[in-house]
Amino acid sequence: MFGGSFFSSDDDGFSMMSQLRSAFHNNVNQRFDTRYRCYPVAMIPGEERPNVNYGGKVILPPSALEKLSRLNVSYPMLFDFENEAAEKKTHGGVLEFIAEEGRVYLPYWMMTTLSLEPGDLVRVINTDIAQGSYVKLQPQSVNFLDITDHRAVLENALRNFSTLTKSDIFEILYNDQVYQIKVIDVQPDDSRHVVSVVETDLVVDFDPPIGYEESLQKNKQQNIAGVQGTMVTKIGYDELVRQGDSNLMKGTGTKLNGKEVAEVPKINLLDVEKQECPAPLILPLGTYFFGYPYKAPSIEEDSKKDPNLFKFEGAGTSLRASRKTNGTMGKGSSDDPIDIDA
Amino acid sequence: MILRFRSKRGMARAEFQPTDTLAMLSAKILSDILKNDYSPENVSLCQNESDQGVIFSNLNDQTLQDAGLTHGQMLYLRLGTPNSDIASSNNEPALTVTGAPKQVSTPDVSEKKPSMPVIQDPIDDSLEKEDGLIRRSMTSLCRHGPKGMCDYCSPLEPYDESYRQENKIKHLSFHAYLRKINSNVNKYASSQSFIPPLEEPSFTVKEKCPSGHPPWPAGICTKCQPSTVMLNLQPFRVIDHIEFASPGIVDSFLNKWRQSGFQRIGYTYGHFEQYNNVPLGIKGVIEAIYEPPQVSEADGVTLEEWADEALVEQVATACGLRRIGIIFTDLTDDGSNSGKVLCKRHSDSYFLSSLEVYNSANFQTKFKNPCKWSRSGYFGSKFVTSVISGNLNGEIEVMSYQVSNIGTALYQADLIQPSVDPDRMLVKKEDQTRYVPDVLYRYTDKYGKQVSENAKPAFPVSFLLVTLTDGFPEKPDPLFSNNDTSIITTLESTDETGRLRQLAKLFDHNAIANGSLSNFSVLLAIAKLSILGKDDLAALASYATAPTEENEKNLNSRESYQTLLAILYSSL
Repeated sequence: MFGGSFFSSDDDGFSMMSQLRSAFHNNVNQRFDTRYRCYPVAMIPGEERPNVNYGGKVILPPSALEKLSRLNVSYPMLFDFENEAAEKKTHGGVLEFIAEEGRVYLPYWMMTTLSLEPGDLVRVINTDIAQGSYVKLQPQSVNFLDITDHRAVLENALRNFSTLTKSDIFEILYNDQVYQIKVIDVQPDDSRHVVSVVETDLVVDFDPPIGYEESLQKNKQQNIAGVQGTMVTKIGYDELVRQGDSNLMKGTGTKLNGKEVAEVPKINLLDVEKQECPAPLILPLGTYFFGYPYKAPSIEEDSKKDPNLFKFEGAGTSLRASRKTNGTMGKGSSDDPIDIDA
Repeated sequence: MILRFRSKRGMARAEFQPTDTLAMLSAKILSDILKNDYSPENVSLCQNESDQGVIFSNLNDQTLQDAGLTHGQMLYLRLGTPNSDIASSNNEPALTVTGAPKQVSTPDVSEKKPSMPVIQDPIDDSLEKEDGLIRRSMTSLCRHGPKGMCDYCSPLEPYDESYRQENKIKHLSFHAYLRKINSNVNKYASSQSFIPPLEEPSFTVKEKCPSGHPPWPAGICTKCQPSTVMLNLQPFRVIDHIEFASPGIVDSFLNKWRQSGFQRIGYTYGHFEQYNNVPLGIKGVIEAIYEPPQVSEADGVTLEEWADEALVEQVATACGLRRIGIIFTDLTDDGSNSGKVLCKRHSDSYFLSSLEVYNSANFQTKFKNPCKWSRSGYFGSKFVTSVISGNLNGEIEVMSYQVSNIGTALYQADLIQPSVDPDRMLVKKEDQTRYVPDVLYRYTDKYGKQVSENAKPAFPVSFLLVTLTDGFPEKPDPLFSNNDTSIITTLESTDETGRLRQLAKLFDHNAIANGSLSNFSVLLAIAKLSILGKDDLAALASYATAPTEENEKNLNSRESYQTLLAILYSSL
């Protein structure tokens, strides 16, 4: 072989090339798969960075970048995070490579999801994730409904995320308030139940927040007496209640663009009792109306039965047993106890 | 010649010719001096103050000269009732404006005295005969034998305050209250001088004010203006307790709501009995509920024209019953599917809404309680308003109320108006037809202090309410064994022959023994055929409720009953 012709050397060169290629090829197959000790992002030295804590991206050490850059990874870089001890998995992206060697900084919600303690080992695996087309989210509390523009808030908040994993509960920060949101469903849904949300058009659907049902029920019950009936509209009860308010100070608002604020102020029917002079309810004799706003009875406060309340206790005793009470006791007890025992 | 006339309207003079007749003179007096306020029958002409004189209509054609009247002579006019009063007493019903409450004038005390004796309800008469003393057994403090008596064990008066509070009786019974008031006013033993101890409150301006100023609204004085209205808890209640003769009465009334979810209203019929849990108490025992024509809605109910009122009353009288009050449902399912209802009426909201109080005041004005101890011959009302609604545990419960006498008086004087806030009643504004006195109410404020507050423009409705207790008897013995009201709708939906056939089935001898006729609705349906007379109806009622041989014999001997049977059997 060695005493071969030029061709053979040529051949050699080719084989070198192929060797190189195969080495390169091997590199493609080689995965980024490392274990790091994890810490919450709050422990990053320097200024606090809320967008990291309320996002879906982690901070890896510079060596990871070096390693990754040598591998042929697809961008954006996405990772599996796995707590092998608890067999829990989630997914995310990477934000920066500024962590100390051997460490990864995770957002707090991610650590909770993986049930990791600071300093625990987490396995980080580079991976490919399909682009998502649809997610269904469920806010974990009703105060999410207080946000007026959900779309804008979510668009802004999800910018900090690369992936959404089904049944994860992630956190977003808006207006100094943390909202927990659960991922109910993702499409396309493969075995890993995860989608990438980087540079994609996502259809977002919402489930009613937890606790919404109860509050709805409560509202319904509040209105049940006022809304259901037909007489309430026949006699124009709402209008009458509003009339009683007419002695309040009134004014109209004007917007900067000169348009009138044409909004009829909504009236809470229960406020009728706060009115100084409610409107008369003039109905023909023999008319009975029950559609007043329903007011639930206030639950009696058991302040008197408070178990923590300290009470002096003790039985009164006298040195000399009263003859009279003894006598009656004896009389009564002669018959009764036998009956009870029998 | 000039003649002078003196009357209670003052002095007047008029010029006459000596040749004028007395008739001409009377005509001139009536038109010029008395301004046609009096008819000739009510004015008499007298020579001096003391004599009775001659009534104008009896004056003859004698000339003044012949009658011996001279220039400048003083004559006296004795005036009777003016025309306006006669007219008003005759046309009183015509004057009332429908919708607005009738302005009831205060009866003149002096006129009322020699009036007819007041016929009271039998229950009132029987309670008056009782001493009502609260007997007590011997206590440990007594130091006397079993036949002795001391301060600790002597009977208490029926109006004893400590007894009332110990037994948690919210109001004195009416008769106990009457004893209390009467013992202050009259000597119980001597019937020599009697002053009626009770007076119904009235808040209208007194007509015919004795101080001689023009009548209101042109003038008013302290004598004729109504006094300040002080709203407070009425110490007594006319009826103490409402008892449903059997739970089935309420149950069948509730069935309509259960089926439709719409509210129902009905008049309660029953009788009054002595109520032993309260000294000299009265309880109303409800035997039947009649549902008059009405428009039901989920959040209200409207009474409609009731054409059969007289007939229903007649049947009730035949059964020995009278109208006790009104009952209505205010039920809303709480949506939990556990059969519970919303508790709408509680201490934080209201017990009886201002509208209901207004309606009840109207009924209580209509159904006054005759009472010989009152100046007007009436005092309060026995009309009771019952509400079926949810209690704090969401269970269906009956609660009964009456409007206080002040409440009805405020209604009669047209001073109050219901408001959209169920817990507050409005005081109407003063105008040309209505004088509104000061209305005050007293309550304990947040500092625990008693405060009087002006009730204008609105005040809490609870100041007009009197609460009654409710219950069912331990051993029900209802008059009617069947309370099913659905028979009325079944009968009304069929034609004449079908109706007769339906009724004929009930007249089977065995069926009657089982109480097929023992139902207010059935008796009403029979009465509607208008075959039976009043007495016959009573005989049928007693047979239906107690099918004994004696009652049957009594009924069979009646011709109209035989006619009824013949008609019914021919339909079969």
